[in-house]
Amino acid sequence: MSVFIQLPVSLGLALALGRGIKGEKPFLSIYFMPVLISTVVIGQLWLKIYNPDYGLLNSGLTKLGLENLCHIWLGDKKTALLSVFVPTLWQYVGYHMLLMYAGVKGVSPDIREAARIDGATEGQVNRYIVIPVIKPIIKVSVIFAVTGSLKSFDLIYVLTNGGPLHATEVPSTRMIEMLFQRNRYGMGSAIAVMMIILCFAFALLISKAFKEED
Amino acid sequence: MKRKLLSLVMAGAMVLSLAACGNTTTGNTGDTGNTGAGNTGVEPTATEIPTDEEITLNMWCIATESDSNRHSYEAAIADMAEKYPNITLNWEAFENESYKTKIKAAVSANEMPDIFFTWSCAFLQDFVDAGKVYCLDAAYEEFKDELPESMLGNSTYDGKHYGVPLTMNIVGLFANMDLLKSVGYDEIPGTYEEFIECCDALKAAGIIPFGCAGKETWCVTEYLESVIEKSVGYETLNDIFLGRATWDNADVAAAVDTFQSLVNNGYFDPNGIALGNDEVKANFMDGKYAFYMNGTWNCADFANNAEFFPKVKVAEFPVINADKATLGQLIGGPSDTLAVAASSANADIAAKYCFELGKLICHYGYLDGCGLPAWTPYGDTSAVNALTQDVAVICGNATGYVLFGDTAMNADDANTYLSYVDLVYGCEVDGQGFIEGLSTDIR
Repeated sequence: MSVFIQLPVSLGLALALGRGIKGEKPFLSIYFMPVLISTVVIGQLWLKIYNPDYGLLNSGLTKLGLENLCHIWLGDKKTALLSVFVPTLWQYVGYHMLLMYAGVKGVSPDIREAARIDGATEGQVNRYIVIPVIKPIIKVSVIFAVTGSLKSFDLIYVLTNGGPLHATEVPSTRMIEMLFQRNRYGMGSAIAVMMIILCFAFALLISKAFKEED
Repeated sequence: MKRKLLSLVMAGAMVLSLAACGNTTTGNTGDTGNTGAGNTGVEPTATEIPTDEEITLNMWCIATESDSNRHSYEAAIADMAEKYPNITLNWEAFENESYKTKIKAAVSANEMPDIFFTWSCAFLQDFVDAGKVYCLDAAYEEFKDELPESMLGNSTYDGKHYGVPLTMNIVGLFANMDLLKSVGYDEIPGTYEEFIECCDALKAAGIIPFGCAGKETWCVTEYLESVIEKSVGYETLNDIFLGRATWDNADVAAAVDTFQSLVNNGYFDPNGIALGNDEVKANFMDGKYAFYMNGTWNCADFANNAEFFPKVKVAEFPVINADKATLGQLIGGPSDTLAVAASSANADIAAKYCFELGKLICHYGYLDGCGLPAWTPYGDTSAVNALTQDVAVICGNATGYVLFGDTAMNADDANTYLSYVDLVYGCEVDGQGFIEGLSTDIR
């Protein structure tokens, strides 16, 4: 989810802002703002948005006459995982965008200008010049996104604590349950070790995949 | 050369960062695994609390700003500060569910505060078995006239006392009488048949009968355990919780099906599954639900709300199977407890302080209506709110108690049990699946 939705959105925003559009700096600050807010605060904010009684989401849908779309977003195991993904994506889009934006800004204007003189459209400039140049940054973003997903804990803990009926359980919440709720320290430690190994393995695999592509 | 230097700096940084993860314990907080008197066989001796020596004690509890017990803790701590100006008590309060994780993490890291709140029975037993809790036998001698030994039963292991009980609570069936009156009921129905008729009438009038916080499974157990107890009798449920009998019991399966029929009949607020207990309690006080089954510690919050208090009444859950259960069989008992860490540098002083503090918390808690006193009441108690007095009448007629399931069982079993309670509430398993699963997974 992080790789296939979060990163393309981040890249799109970085490319758009990197072109030097009007209001570039304010947009940059606005997109980056969720990264600066504490995850617990974000969790509480989204808990209120999703609240089935007075939440912004259900109230908005009702106001728009879409009552049939109203849900118990965090209480229904069919929608809980998606509902947890949305604030996670929202929170970290700005982070990845900033990384990529720095890369986009590093592309020499001369190269862009030369491509444009040769008749390249804006899309072609991005596709054939900017993206290849910022590939190392994209690789770092992919590694951060994948390992971050494996380690994700705080937002899920605040929003659902792995529920309902384990629908939003991730390795970290399972580890906490084993270690501190069930007092099964061996199992908890095993999960922790596996998480570290998986993070390393994915980081190596991603690095290798990018190298092969080069 | 530069490369070598850089490598050395990097290696040094790595070693330092690893060292930062190490234990930082100093003095007596180091290896205290065997300092629990219960484990070493060494009986601690009672020490008078010195009044001339500057002492600092740390305490953790769950009396957060929104907790019913907050005022009783504040009042008790103020009294203690006045009596012992030389003792500084640094206390912190944490939210109920996160506290369970925090205290267990602190115990495993050997970083416990001097005095800590705990639930009795199996929850505390895990810490006692690990040798992390200070034996209170010596300190208890001074307070035995005010604290009946029967109240220490849930925190006594191998004949030694490890906890100071505070208040005693049961699960109560709270009712919003305004809503009940609107469908023709002046009293909380006394029989199960009438109770179901009342729920149907409420539902027909567009009123949600039950509010239950599905996000906090212990709130679901308040309903489920009451239904099981009033179906199979307290002795059977006690035997199962305490491991004297297996879960493989057809009567329990039938009781779980009865509970599930309440869910399937739409008596519970469907939104409740995504809500925490504070939100559900607020909804009940706002008149969204007719009934709210929860601990009688809530009497204090209800009594403090002048607008809501005249509307609320409390009763015990009606008997479902009169052949096996009777009125007077209750879920609850003395569970809220203070304990002293064996690793405390001033464990003997903390033990005495803990008893005195516990007595005051109990006193103020009873006056506030946070529960019934585990200690012998003293002073003028005529101001205790009517709801708590009703609870006292219910407890006065009690014939048997079953301690809350997640407190009675050890941590691993309790969590397995709570997982199955979630499945039952979510209608993922029926009564048969519940007992089969638990009898397989809890050995």
